[in-house]
Amino acid sequence: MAQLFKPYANSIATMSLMIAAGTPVLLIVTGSLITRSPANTKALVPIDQPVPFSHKHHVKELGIDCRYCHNTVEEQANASVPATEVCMSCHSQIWTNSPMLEPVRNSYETGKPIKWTKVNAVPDFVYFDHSIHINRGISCNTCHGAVQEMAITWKGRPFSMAWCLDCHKHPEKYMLDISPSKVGSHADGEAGEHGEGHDESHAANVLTPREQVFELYRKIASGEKLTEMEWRLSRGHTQHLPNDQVHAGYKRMEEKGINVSQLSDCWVCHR
Amino acid sequence: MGKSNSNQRDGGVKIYKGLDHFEAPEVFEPLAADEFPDRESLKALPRRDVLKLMGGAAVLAGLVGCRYQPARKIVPFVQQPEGAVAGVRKQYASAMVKDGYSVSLLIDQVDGRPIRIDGNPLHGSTLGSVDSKLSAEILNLYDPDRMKNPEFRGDPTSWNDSLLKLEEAINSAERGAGVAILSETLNSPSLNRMAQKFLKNYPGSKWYQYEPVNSDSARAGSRMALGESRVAVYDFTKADVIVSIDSDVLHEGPFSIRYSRDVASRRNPNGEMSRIYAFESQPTTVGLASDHRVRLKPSETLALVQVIASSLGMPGATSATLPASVEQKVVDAAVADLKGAGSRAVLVAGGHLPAQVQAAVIAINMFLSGGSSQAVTYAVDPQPLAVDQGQSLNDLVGAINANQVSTLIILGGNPVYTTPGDVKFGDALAKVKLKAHLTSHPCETSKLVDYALPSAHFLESWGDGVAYDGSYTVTQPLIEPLYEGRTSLEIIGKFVGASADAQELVRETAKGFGDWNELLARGFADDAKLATPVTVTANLMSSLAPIKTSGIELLVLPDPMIGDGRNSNNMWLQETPNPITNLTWDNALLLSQKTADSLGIVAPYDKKSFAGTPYYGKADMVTISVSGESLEVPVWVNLGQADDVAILHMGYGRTTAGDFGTKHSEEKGGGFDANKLRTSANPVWLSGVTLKKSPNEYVLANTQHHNTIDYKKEDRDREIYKSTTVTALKNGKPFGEHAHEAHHSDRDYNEFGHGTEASIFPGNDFKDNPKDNYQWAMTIDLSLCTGCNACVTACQAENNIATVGKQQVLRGREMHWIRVDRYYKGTGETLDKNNPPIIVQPVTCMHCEQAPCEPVCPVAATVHSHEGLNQMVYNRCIGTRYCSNNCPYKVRRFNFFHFSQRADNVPVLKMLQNPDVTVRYRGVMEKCTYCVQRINHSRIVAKKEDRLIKDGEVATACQVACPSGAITFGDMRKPENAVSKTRAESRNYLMLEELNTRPRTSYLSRVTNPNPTLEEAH
Repeated sequence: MAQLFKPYANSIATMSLMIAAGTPVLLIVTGSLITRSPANTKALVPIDQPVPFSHKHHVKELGIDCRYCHNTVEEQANASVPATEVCMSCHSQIWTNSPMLEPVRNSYETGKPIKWTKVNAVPDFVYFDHSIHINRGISCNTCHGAVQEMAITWKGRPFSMAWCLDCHKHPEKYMLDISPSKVGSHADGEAGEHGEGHDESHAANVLTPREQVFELYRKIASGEKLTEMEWRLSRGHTQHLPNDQVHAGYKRMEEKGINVSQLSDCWVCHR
Repeated sequence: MGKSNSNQRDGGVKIYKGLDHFEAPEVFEPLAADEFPDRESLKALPRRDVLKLMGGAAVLAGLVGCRYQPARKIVPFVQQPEGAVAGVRKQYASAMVKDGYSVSLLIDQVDGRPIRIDGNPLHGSTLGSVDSKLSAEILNLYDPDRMKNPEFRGDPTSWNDSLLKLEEAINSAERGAGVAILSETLNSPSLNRMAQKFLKNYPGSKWYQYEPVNSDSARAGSRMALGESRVAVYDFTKADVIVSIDSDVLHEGPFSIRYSRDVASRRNPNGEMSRIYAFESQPTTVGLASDHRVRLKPSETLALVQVIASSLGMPGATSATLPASVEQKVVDAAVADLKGAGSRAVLVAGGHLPAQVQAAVIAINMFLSGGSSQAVTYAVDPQPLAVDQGQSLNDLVGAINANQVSTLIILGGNPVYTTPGDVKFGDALAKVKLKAHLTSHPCETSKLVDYALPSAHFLESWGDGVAYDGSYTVTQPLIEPLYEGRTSLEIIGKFVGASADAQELVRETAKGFGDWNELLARGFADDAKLATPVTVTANLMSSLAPIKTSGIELLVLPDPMIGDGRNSNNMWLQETPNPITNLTWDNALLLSQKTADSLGIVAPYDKKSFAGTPYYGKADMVTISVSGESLEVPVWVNLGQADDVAILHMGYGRTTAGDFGTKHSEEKGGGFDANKLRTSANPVWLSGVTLKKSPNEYVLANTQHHNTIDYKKEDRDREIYKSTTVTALKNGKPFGEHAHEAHHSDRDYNEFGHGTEASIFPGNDFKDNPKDNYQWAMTIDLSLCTGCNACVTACQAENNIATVGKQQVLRGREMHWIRVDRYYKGTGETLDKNNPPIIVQPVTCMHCEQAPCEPVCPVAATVHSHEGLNQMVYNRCIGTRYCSNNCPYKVRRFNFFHFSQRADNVPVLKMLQNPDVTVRYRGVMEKCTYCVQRINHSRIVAKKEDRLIKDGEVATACQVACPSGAITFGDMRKPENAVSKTRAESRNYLMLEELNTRPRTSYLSRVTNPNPTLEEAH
């Protein structure tokens, strides 16, 4: 009787076993990689908008403050997306015939709002508040990436729960103290106005965490030279901080009475 | 408190959830503990089908989790309205009509939609609190069954056409002859102005007013006693002794919320406590708050009042025989107290009582104080055009039947349904040539008229009104009308050629009340001074006509939740249990045990047919016959009700009232129409009623046995409810004379010797972590709770709690995060089935420091926060329900079906949801969060200002709503905080403390102030 199994049958059997054992593992690993990849999170994927609005042009090249459009970011949970009239406050004067701005003019004339596609979204069961993050000195770029470099806006970070929790468990890594004082001719500038009455114990040129957030963008817009830390933050790079920054973070947490264990309670964000 | 028994704790007091709990514990206990009381019906399913279904369900459940987040749009404004910020909550003052008078409210508005109604703390009508009906009014706004556009005999038409036709009819009649307008109680000065103009322009026209719940009787009594119509305004803060004569003044009427707060202010044992006697035909919130509760038939109230009058030595008072159910010594004690308190004593008569009783009560109050009572003022009725509404209705129907009415415009109300049966309003309506009805919902009346016109909700319209204290209130719109609704003011304004803008009409009226913007911001103008001296008619007491009565007496009262039927389609109110009976979705004929026995009523738990059927069983039905009408209704035995008195609530048995209000079938509920039995001569109280048991049965959805805490008989002496008297409290007995357990203020040890150190969860000492800023705690004062259920509805509105419908209520699946347990209190193994002491206890998540729910969750979906909150994480929950099983307080609610589906599918209901709280999906456990959204909001506000949250800054929804202020909430780490003070009080206790769960919600034992000459009632 001829051999039922040829010698290569062994190899096939081994392979089959390996595939049988490996496939589920592979599937799980692939699946989790896909869910964490930009394919799912849409992080770093530029999103088409009805108007190809460039943050790079408006923030970096023209030097418009974040708060000109996102005007409630310091006070309220929502940062606010500007009304058409905010766009038109400039564009009724400049680029009045630009075909790119046709939807804006159209909206202004007809009263129908522009429908922007949401770029940064948290799920419905997450309750996020911009104002408290800004007031604690968390820079816009920490979560949104280098917005001032985006010609078409994308989501700068994956916005996954693990990513949120990284900061909520280790806020010292993100509560940077990198632009502690005002410089140059801007000592009486806008940042100063916002600081007034807020914390009188601060010396006139020492900035509160909230003011530091916008001092960074002022520097970016005015083309001032950024310190290394500022540059890193402007890029949204906050990993591997030098020790002095981590210490500064701890100090700020102490000052502000931030309790890390409380900060990662479920009901801080979910309710 | 009964006689002490050395073997039993607390004098052998036992509490029972219902008669079944007492009579048939062997039936009650296992079934109350059963999560699936109708598990017999499940057994009908073959095992293989069960496995198939389970497999299918598992697959589908897995797939439910796999969804891409859809791309969402951001739609900003074109022109940003001033102050409009997405997601920011703003409050505006407004006002609505409650029982004929306006009450001042604060409305929360987010993104242009009103989402919540609170009381206006500045105004005396609400003092910042609400009752269930006011909270639930927000749902009436978003009710998808509302009348949406004008209809001409069922076909859509336009407002222009409708008004044109009506104006033509009005103008074609000579000087308006034959034109009649029927409105609800005319409360608005602006509408009154328009009405007067209308009547002047068309002198032949007539204006009528009718509402089924009115103050006709009180007005008649006032005329009898004082010679003119006055309204009684009580000041219970100054009342040392309150004698309630069948009154529900803490739940019904325009000032009920204020009165609850005022009464509560005098029920604090640390201050000077008032004493309350309640003589009543059925247990009411007043009776529950009282020190002595005595049963009495409505017809016997006159005799009682006469006895009190003659005992007080009132000149001209004729003596009467004391009703059999009232003990002489109780009256003696009450009279002695009244005498002692003088001008600080007050009698309160129920609005449904006959005029003689009302008059006698006024006379006694005047006599007690020598004409200057501190506790009651007889003020001029602030109503601009007050009439006797029963008379007004009779006049109208008389005119119609005499063919004197050719055009009838009905402004609001639903007279075809709400008028007494013998009026036959529907038949009369057919005789009117042209009739129109302005209505919030398609209803019985709008079906029979030519023009059915949609009315605007008060949150959509400009208006004004007068409050019970005479102050002028303004109603401002919080949202553009959702549909084509308009108000009475706009319609009558149009007929008289006034401005089409209702705001202008109101502003003109408001000219005399100071700055318009200030008026809008506050919501009201200062009180008018309406109190002028009055004198009592001579010989009043000797000329009181006796009340003729025979047989069983029937009271037809507004439902505590549904009212006269205007809230029929409000599912929140349908599902909020009736405060005393705990009935939902239906009304029933309430009878005392003795009366039910005499009719041969068999309790559901005693039925042979009970075996194998779901626990709730079926209620026997009876046929009520009175003055030629009869109605078959199910019976509910209401312990504490007077014998030979039958009570049926109105508002049910609707034939056209939307999805939830209309009585479709026994399965969906809907109740029985009590208006049929009423007559125009006796609209509320009828005697000579015959009851006959019918062979039929009816399923009633009652929640009294749901979420029972201690169902095992041997456990029943757990002191989950503690009470004492003010004398005992002063003697250091905060939990009653016979309680042998002292109070453990430090809470480290309990009676079984377990302390924190003995815990198997070491390190859970939340109190002492120096890094934590706050430790939240709640205290509920059982002395103040009247069981009105305002907290239940307020919580439902705040926390997006779904309603489940009658069938699911029957299975014990109602979703309320806070419930008010009602117990009957027995002594030893006995229960006074005639008049048991009735106690109420709000129960919500205790936020145990050592929560039994937490260790049993396999997915850590319920965990503890560092501020002492027992967190429920919906997105982790997989629905094992182990937590609920292990919760000794039974406060967790499981979403068995997609109960929030309706909110998902009906667009207009999406607007109702509170954006700060997740709308939960099916298969998820949920429970009280201590309103964590409010805590988080305040925390962020405080942090931005670099300070800590102040005491009182966070108030939970139930706390804000509670009319008597029974709930205290706050951070218990600081001893100076209100909640810490309540926790330090000697009468503070923890529910089931012996389980060592260390709950954050604690209770203050109930303190009564009984007359020392009488045995304590409860």
